Amino acid sequence: MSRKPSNILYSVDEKPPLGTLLILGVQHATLSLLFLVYPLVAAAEAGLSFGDTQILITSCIIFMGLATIIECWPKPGAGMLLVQIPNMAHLPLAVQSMSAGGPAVYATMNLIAAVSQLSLTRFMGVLRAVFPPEICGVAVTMLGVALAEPALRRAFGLSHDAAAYIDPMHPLVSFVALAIIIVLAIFSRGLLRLFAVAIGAAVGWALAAFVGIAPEPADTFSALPYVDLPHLGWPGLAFSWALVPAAVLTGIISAVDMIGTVVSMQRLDDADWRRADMAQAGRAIQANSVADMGAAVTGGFASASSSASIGVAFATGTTAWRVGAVAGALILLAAFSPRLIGALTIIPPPVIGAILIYAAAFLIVAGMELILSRRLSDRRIFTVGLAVMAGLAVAILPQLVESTPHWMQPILESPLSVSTGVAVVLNLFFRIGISQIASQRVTEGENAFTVTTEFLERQGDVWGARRDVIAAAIPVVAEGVEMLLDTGVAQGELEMRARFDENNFDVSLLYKGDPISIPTHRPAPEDLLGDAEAVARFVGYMLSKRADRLVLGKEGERQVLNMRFEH
Amino acid sequence: MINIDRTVEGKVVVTTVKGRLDSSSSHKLDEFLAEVPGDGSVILLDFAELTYISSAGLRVVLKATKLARSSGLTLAVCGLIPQVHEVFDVSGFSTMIPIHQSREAALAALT
Repeated sequence: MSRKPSNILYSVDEKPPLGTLLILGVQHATLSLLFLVYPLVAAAEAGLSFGDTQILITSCIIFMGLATIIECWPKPGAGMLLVQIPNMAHLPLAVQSMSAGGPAVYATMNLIAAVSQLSLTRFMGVLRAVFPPEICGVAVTMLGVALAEPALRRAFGLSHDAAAYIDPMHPLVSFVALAIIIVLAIFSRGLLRLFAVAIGAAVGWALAAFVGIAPEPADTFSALPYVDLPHLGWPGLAFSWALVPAAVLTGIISAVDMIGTVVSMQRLDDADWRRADMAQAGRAIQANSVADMGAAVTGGFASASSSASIGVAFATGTTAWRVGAVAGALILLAAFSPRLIGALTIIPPPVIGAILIYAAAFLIVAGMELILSRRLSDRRIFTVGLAVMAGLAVAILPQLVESTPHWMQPILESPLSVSTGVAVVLNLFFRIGISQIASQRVTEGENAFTVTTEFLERQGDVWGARRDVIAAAIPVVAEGVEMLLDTGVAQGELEMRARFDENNFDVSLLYKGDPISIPTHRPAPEDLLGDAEAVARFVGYMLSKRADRLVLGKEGERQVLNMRFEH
Repeated sequence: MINIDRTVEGKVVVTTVKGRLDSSSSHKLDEFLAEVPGDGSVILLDFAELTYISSAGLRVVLKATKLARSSGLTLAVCGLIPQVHEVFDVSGFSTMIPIHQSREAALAALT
C-alpha cells in the first residue's frame, strides 16, 4: 500500500469530485491532442494525401483514447494515470516507411513494432534486474532531457534553420505561461491549482494573440465540421525488409519509454517508493501494444504514454487513475470533432513549449532523485555518468548520429534510448564478479560499530542498496556484534555475513558459543546490570524489535543470529 | 569517538555527550557520572550530538539513574536524535527516565 505524498491532493485510487475529474480530464486530453503535430509532420514529410492524413490522425486519436482508458483502468490495465500521446519515437519510422511505400508499409512496420514491444512484456521479471532504480532514474532523467530540445525550440520560436532569428515575443509568451503554471502549482490550493496548466496555457495563448504570434487558422479550417463520424481505413499491408530493424528497435524504444513514464508516475504517487513495479509497467505496455496494433490496421499513427502528462499531474497534484479514464473518453470524443482537432493544432508553439519545459524540469529532477535513492559504488557512478553522457552526446552532436547507418539512426537519435541502452549494458557488465553474499570476520577488541559500518556501507555500495536501509541496519547489527563479543557469548570472534536480494537485506552473525534466547516480553532494564545471559536476553529482545525479522538457527557447530531488513 | 563536557546552569548540571556511546567509550561517561553533584541538583544528559548508543551505553545511563535516585537527585536526558530515541523507546528507558526535546525545554522544565 503506497503512502500519499504531501504534495498530492488526489492519489491514484482516490475519487475526485465529478467537476474536478472533468477539469483535469480536459487538461490532460487537450495537452495530449496538441501532440498530433507529430503525425501531421510525418504525413507532410512523407507527402501523404489529405485523405490518408485524415485517416492517420483520426485512427491515432481513437486508439490513443482507447489505450488511455485501458491503461488507466486497474485491471486489465495498469490502474494509474497514464495519458497517451502520438508516439514521437515512431516519427522516423513513419516518415521512412510511408515515403518508401505509403500507408501500407507503415501499417506493417507499426505492427512489427507493436509485436516487438509486446514481446518484451513476457520478460518483465527479468527486466526488473535489468532496471534497478538508478537505471530507471537514468531513463526518467533522459525523458526530461529528450523533452528539452522540442520544448526550448518552441519556447524560443526557433526553426531548424541554424541562422534563425529569435523573435523576443516567443520567449516572452512562453515564460509568462511557464511562470503562471509554476506559481499556481506551488503557491495556490484548490481549484486554482487544479487549473494550473489550463490557466497558464490560456493566458499564454491570449498573450500570443495580443503580440501577434498566434498562428492563423488555415483556410480549410472554417470548412471543417464541428461533429462528424470518424473515417478509418484499411491501409493494406506491404513489406520492406530494410525497415524491419528500425521497426523492432522502435518497439523496444517505445517499451523503454513506457517503463520510464510508468516509473515516474509510481514515484510521484508514493512517498515511500522503493522499486519499479514491473508487472504494472508490463500491463501498461500490453495495453499500448494492442492499441498500436489497432492503429496499425486502421491506418493510424502509434501512440505511447505521455511524459508531459506527468508534469500536469505534478502541477495539479492529482494522480487519480479516474482522471486518465475521463481524459481517454474525451480524447475518444475528440475524434468526432474535426473542427476541435483543427483548433488544437493552432495553439501557439511557445505555449506548448512552456508546458514541456515544466514537464522536463520535473522529470530531470525526479530521475536524479531515483538515481540517488541507492548507495552508489564506483561501478554505479560510472554506469549512470557514462549513460547520461552517451545520451547527451547524441542530443548535442547530431552529426554523430548522421554518420551511422540509416537503420541505426532511429534508435541513436533518441537520447532516452541511447542512455537507457548504455546504462543497461554497463549495469549488466559491472555486475560481473559481484557476489550477493559477503562476509567479514570480527574479533574481540575490534570496535563493533566501526567494523559493521565499514562492512555494510561497502557492501551497500557494491549492491546498490537503499541508503536508509543500510543506515538503519548498521546500529542494529553493531549492537548484536558488540553484545555477542563483549558478553563472551561468542568465543573470541564471529563472522558477519551479509546477503542482498533486492527485496531483503539480511545480516547473519555466526559464532561458536551458546545460543541466546529472545524473550517475547520486554525484560526489565535492570537486566543490563545482570550477568552475560541476562544482557544477551535484553539485547536479543531489542534486536527482535529493531530488525524487521530476527531468526535464530545453527550452521554446523556455529550459532546463527539472522537479522532481516526489508529492502 | 566520544567527547564529554560538563556545565552548570543554575541548579542543573548539564553533561553533554558527543559521538558514540558503546563498549569502547561508555567507561568514560561512567567515570564522569560517578561524581554526584551536591544536594538539590538535577543531572541533565544532553544527547543532542550522540549519534549511537549501544546496550553498554544504556547500562551506564541506568547506573547513573540509580545513583542519582539513591542520592535524592533527578536525572533527565534531552535532545535525542530519532535513532537514539528509538533505542530508548524499545529498551523501556523512555518510561523510566524523563526525556526532553531540547536542552532549552529541559532547563525550562527543571528549573
